[in-house]
This record gives sequence, structure tokens and C-alpha cells, in this order.
Amino acid sequence: MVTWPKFSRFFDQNILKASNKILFEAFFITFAIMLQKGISNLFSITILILILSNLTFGQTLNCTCFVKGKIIDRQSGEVVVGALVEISAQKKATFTNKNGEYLIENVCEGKYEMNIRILGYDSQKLEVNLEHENTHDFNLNESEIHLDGINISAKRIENISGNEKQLSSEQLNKLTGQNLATILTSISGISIIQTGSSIGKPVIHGMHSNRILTINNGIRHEAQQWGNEHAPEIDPFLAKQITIIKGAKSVRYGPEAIGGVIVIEPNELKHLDKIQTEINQFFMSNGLQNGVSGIVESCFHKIRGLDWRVQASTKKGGNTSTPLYNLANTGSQEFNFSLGAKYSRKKTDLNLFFSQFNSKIGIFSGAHIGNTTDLALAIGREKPLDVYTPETFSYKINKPYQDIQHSLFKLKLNQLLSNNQNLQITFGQQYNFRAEVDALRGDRNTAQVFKINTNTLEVLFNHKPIIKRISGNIGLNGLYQYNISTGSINVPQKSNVLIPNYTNFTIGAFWIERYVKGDFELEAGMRFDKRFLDVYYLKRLQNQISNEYFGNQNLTNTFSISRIFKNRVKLGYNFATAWKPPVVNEMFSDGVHHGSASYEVGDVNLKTEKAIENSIVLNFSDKFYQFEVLGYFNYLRNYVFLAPTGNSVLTIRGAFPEFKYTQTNARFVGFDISNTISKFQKFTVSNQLSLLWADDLTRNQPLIFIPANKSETVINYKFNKSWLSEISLNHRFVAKQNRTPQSQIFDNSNSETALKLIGGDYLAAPESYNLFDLSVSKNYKFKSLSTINIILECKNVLNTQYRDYLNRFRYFTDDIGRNFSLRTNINF
Amino acid sequence: MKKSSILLLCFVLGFSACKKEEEIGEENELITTIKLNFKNGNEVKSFSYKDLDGDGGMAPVIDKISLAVNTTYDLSIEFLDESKSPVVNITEEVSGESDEHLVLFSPSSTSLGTYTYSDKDVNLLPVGLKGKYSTKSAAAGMLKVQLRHQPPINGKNSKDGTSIPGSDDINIDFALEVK
Repeated sequence: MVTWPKFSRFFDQNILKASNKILFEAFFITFAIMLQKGISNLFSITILILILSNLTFGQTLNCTCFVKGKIIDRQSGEVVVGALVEISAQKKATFTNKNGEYLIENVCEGKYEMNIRILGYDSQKLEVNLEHENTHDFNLNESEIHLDGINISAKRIENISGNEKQLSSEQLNKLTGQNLATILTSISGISIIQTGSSIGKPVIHGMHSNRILTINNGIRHEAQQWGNEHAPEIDPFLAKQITIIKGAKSVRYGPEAIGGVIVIEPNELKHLDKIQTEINQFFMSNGLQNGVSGIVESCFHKIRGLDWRVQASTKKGGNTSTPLYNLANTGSQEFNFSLGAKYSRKKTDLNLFFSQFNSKIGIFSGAHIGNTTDLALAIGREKPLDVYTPETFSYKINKPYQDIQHSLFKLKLNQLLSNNQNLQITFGQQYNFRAEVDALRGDRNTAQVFKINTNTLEVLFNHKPIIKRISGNIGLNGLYQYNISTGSINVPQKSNVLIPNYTNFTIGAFWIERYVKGDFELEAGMRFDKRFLDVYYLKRLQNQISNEYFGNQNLTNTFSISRIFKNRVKLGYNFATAWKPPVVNEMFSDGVHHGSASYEVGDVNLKTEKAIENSIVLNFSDKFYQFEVLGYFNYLRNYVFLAPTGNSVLTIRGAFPEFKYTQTNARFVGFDISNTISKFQKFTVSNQLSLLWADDLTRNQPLIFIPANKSETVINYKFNKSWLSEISLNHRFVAKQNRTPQSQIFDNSNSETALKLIGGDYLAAPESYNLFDLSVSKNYKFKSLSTINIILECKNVLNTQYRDYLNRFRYFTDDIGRNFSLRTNINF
Repeated sequence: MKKSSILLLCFVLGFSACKKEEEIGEENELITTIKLNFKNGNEVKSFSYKDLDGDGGMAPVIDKISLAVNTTYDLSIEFLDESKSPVVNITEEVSGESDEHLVLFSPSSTSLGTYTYSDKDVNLLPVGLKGKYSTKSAAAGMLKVQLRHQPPINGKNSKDGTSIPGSDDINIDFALEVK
């Protein structure tokens, strides 16, 4: 049925730039078996469904048309063997034979979209009008590095542990204009910590900030992770694929990957004959937000193998509104751009990338709190004062505001060695600038300014497959980082800074091996890291510079096993250890945290936090029904958190409740459950449930600020031939967080603060709420392969008044109300 | 050619958008000292609050205010940053932006006396840098001194002569004895 020699030659030429031959062979062996016996493999579950459907929904009356043709490589002129040709509306699919020819018979008359796909080429679509007999030949474009090293490792993770979820560019198009964290909440188990509507931080299984790693474009994103009001500095328009790994991934990515990893990638640069342009645009009624992003890519004709891409986006929003009132100074502005180039020659790929993110975000004036008395008064009010809820709309951003810039430069070399071994060297440089500007007298600012520089280097070696079943890689990581809050690195000039100057040097080495045999997979890995941290600061009223050194090291390991039963049920188990050395802010904070009206004190004696994580994934998929449950049990020794001491600190602005960083042993137990029912790929109902119990084991009570349980249901219908392409209704239920701590963490409380703390919180958790969103979309496709996609959406259709437990502004104001949005995506 | 010019344009755009530090600077103003001057005839009594190391660290030193019965004092207030040398007088800045500041003097009970404003800003609203404090009979309690910062919100004045808008730049309780 399939000629293997042709296959492997084809592979060598086009795909196997990044070794792992075994993976592909496994894939294609199964592919072949699948063709013969109708058996699927993980990669091709969707294709299986198509083929099964083909068998079952076959013949109807008057359906004797057929379509045939030949598929040819546009670059080499050779025939393409084994390409999938499908007419999805008719549930028909086939593969091209050794001469590159295909034939689909017994198709009903009508207009259809044909789809041609094969690894190593860009997929192609064509509208066909079938009357009796049609011949369509295709020329496919090679997409040379369809899978590079990073992609492969991502795919492996999915196969093994199953605790990974992806958002495709199609899904991302439906979410444009929102911040990154909000985009991620469409995945079960992911929540968001908000500071108003424009600042959002992702939370995975109840963990956030320094317990989550973001890998942006293959580089570990390094910024100011410490504050809840510090959102990731990444342009969501550039992200074309987002992968979330739920749970620890320390062995591959290093310390701090305790809660999970967010992997953000733009599309791979590919060979294009023409200039390809994508334009994304959105408008939102709430805050009159609007934005536009453009991506242009092509190749240089003069230099063979050199491809490029240029991208830029801007975004502007004014004051947002809740169902009942507007919020003063809640506008935001963004301007981002990136440049990418790739040079491929024989066995070498060189990637160059630069991006810059700029944003200015207004902080709601009514949440600008001077001291505890102000806070108590603000919390006591039903709605914010009139002056903070103006009738008139404005785009203007006043103090207080955040001003953020993040630049990333990346240089990556991918070298294919003999025996399909592969070496990958990635260098990254990042500069993060952040100013939190407060209102003060005159034209002066009280600004907290942070400047973090980070250099990272990764060397990754994929060794040649052993007995064709074991593949693996060895890697080395290095990171050098420094922060300047005042003066120069080792000569600080002021004592009253929130974060002292520091240098951080971390090195790590890891080794991961993977064994695959049919439906059975096993992965194991280990890693060693060492961190050298030097902190330079001035003690109060002293001119002598204090320098403290911290050295931390740790060994982490991981083990995963999975098995597929009868092609329907997949069971996977994942074990991982992870760690996080105490971070600078946890050790050295000493001052008022503006806006949250608390006095925060660090502890230099904090110990390293260590996690042991277990998770089990059970996945069942049928033609019409898919079910998945991910259960996790995570134990964290020396879990670092901030807790009220019960004391107050007297300052010139009045008394502030004192919060200290402390440690405990914690347990996170939870389930992500998803159910999907779909019929003929047209009608889909899906539900995602996220449940979590997080406890402080030392004090035997729940942990504070843990996301409440939630359920999200989506009903979606795709129309075949209609003025509408798709309609979907989304319902979100967020329960009340009943599990909040009741007793004080520190028991030496000796003074009355102006504010009565309820178990370490200013206000009891808000009530549960239900939100409904409705969206309709229309796709236009043209012969020239151009597409236009228009989405009209209404969020919070019922204009429900609600407050969310993880929104810091819940003390002062309701969350935002109804929001209409219009999104357009154009490709040409 | 066209493409390389696009690239070039983007590079220029990129590097020109690079430097942000100059716009903001890292100025940090601190008020370490508050001085209350009670003047009656030629006699001036001064009481102060001092926290030279700023928030946290060593506790502030707060003088106890002692006034005579049935006396009206001219009360003026001074804000200083004594952590710098020479000492920075912040009173002038507050006075320069009197339309977004309000000083409040609130005795813990009415028997401790009453405060009346004798200065006004451009919008004819009280400021409180200068005023009169009148005592009656002997009593003891607390005097709360607040400096409310009430900057305009989205271009609209927020100061309305009451304590409600804005936030506290200063909020201190002095012990007060009238005898």
C-alpha cells in the first residue's frame, strides 16, 4: 500500500531536520496500520474519526460523483506520496498513492471544500463544485522546518503525561483584544488574578507568579514576577499557538516551574513564494477599546533560504464601565512589534528574533489607597465615590499608572548532525523596564522603577535513537540576571527601595529519555541546578553597602508513563519534583505596598520550596463523545506565602497592617474534568469543570487567595451553507470561595489595626456568579486562498453585576459589565 | 528593495522606542517631619512628628501637644524632609498646589477645642496651612492631623472642601492636653 523507501527519503529531505526519526516512524507505521485495519494512534485520532465516519456514513442516493487528481511538490516538481485528501463535509478522505494520485469516489453532487494535508507541506484548501467528474491537481509548498526541536519536545510532553492543553490560532483569533491571562482562562484548571480589567496574571491549579514559567518564543520569560499586579509582558497578537502544561515541568525548564508552564509560539517561518499578510483588528464597546495587528512575511528571492516576518500591533482603550457606573482612569495603551528572520541551508537553521512590548496602564483612581483608614472607608462604600465614576468618557491616562517595556532578542542555531542527531543552541537577551508612577505634588512622581536584564543560553543535544525505540536529549542552561533599582548594581544609592539591586547566576543540566513501543510510552528525566544570588543594598540611615550571598542547589526528576487501550482509552501517570529558591522580594521586601495598603516584610531566612507532584489523566474518546479527567495531588514543602501578622506599622501616612512572608507545608488537590459531545463536527456541547482544594497543612486550614471552583459550558453550532458560519453560547459559573482561612497565621498580634481582618483578608469572599457570552462568526474564503473571518461577540450578555474573589479591585468596585466586540481576521 | 525598507523602518521604530527611563526618573520624595506651630502673641509653641528613617525601621518620635485653656492660637503647619541635607521644605510645594491639598485637624472630642481655616485656594476652598485653634476648658485627648491629597481625576477637580475624596499623604495622631 505504501512504498517505504520513498517515504524515508522524503523524510530525510524535508522533515527530519530535528532528528527523532523514531517518532515519525512510529507515526507512519501506525498510519499504515491504520489504513489497513482502521486502527488509530494518538496523532491521528481526528483522522481516524474522519475515516470511521467515512465507513459508517457512506452512501446516499445519487452520489456517484468522483474527484481525482495528482499532487506535486511545487519546489522540486516531484510527486507527493501519502498526502491526505479530504472532503470533510462529505466525510470522505484518501491518501495519494506512489504516483501522487488520488481518487475519491461516491461523492454527492454539490459544492465542497477540499483539504490536502501532509507533514512537511503547507496544507491547501480548494472549493470544488462537483457535478460528475472533476480533476484537480495540486502543487504543494514545502514548509521546510515543519517541526523543529521545540515543537518536538512539546509534542512529546503531550503524548506522555496528557496534562497539556493547546490553544490553536483559530481559537486565539476568537479571543483577540483580551489580555494574555484572560485568553488562557478558556482552558480548564486555569484562572486569573486581576487588578482591574486590564491587568491579569494566569493561575494554574491555584499557583501563580514565581511558580509559573512562561516560555516566550523558546526563551524563558524573565520579568518582575513578584506583584499580583504585574501581568506578563507579551503581545497576545504575536502568539499563534499557546500550550499550557499543567503541573511541574522543572526537569525541562528549570526552577520555578512548579505550577506549570505556558509556552507561547509564533508560527514557524516558512518558504513563501509571495508576500503573505495577516491583519487582525478588534473593537470593544466597553472602554471603546480598539486595536490592530499586522503580520507580513515572505522570503528574500535573492538569498535562497532566507525568510522573514515583520509584525506590529497597537491597542488603545479608555475608561471601562461596570453595569452601573464608569471607572475613572482605567484606560490602557499598547504598542508592540517584532521582527523575525530565518536562514536555512542544508543542515543548518539560523533564527533571529527581536520583539518589544510597550504598555501604559491606568490604575483605577478609586483604588488608589493612602492608608488603612482610606481602605476601610473605600471598602465600606456600596459604590465608589462620584468623582471616581465620571459620566464622561475619556481615553486619558492619569497618575497612578504603570509604564512597562519588555524587549527580547533571540538567536537560535539548529544544526542537524550525522545519524539524525541534532544540536540546538539558543541565546536570549531580555530587558524589562517597569515604573509604577503615583500621584504626588507638582510634576514630581513617586515612581518605583525596576530594571531587569537577563541573558539566557541553552544548549540542547538530541541523541540518535537507540534500538529505534529510545530517544532523548541532554541540555545545559545558563542564566545571568541583574536588577538595578537604584544607583548601579553593586553601588546602591537609596535604602527605601522595594526590591534591592541583585545579580543572579543560575546553571542547570538535564537529561531526558523516552521509550515508545506501540501504545505504551515511558519517559524519565533528571536535572541539577545551582543558583548564585548576590544582593546589594543599603540599610536604613547607613552609607555602608551591605552585600549578601545566597547559594542554592537542587536535584529534580520526572517520570511519566502512559498507555492507550483499544484506541479509545488513554491512561497516563505523571510524577515530578520541582523547586523554587526564595526570590528576592520574598527575602528583602520592607515597605508599604502602594495600592494594597499593606506593609510588607521579607524574611532572609526562608528555605527553598520543594514540590512533589502526582497526576493521573484518563481520556476516553469516541465518535461523538470525549471525556477527560485530570486529577492532581501536589505536596509543597516550605511553601512561601504572604500573611498578616496582626500588628500594624506606624508611618507618616497612618497605620498599615503588617504582612510577612512565611512558610508552611501545603497540599493542592484538584480535578480538571472535561466532557465534549459533538455530532458531525457541526454541533458541539462541551463542559469544563475545575475543582481545587488547597490547604495549609501546618495550621490545618485552607490557603488564602485560591481560585474558586468553576464550570464553563460552550454550545457551538457550525453552519454549512448559510449567511452565518458559526454561533456559540458560553456559560461560566464561578462558585463562592467558601474555603478561606479563619485563624491568624502569626499569633503575636498585639495591636488593633483600623481594619478588621477576616482571616487575613479585608473582605469576605464575594458571592458566586453566572456569566453568559454569545458570539456569531462568518468566514469568507476566496479562490486565491485569501480568507476573511468576522466575529461579533457579546460578553456578559445579561449585564450581571459581580465581583470575583481573585480580582484585587473587588474591595472597591464591581467587575466590568456588558461588552460588545467585533473582530476581523484577514489573510491574503 | 521594498521589503528591506520595511525592515529598516521597523528597526528605526524599534530602537527609537527603546529608552523610557528618562521620562520618569527615579525621584522619591519623603516627608520625615511635621511641625505644628501654635502662636499666641509673642509666644510660639512648636510640636513635631519625626521619622527620619522613613516607613518602618525605627518607630517615629511624636511630641505631646500642650496648650493653655481658653486661648486662641494662630496654627501653622510645616512639612519637611530632614533625611536630605540641606533639609527640603515640602510646605511650599503643598502651598503651590493648594487646589489639590487639604489639611484637616480633628480633635478626638469637641471639648479639646475647634479649628477654623484662615487660608483659601484659587477655588476659594480651605487649605489648612494657616488657621486658628481655640481651646476652652481643660481636657486631654488626641488631635488627628491629616494631609489629604485630592488630585484631579480625568481632568476634573476632585477637591470639594470635604475630607472624602483623595488619599492621605499624612495621617498622624498627636496626644493633646489642654490645661
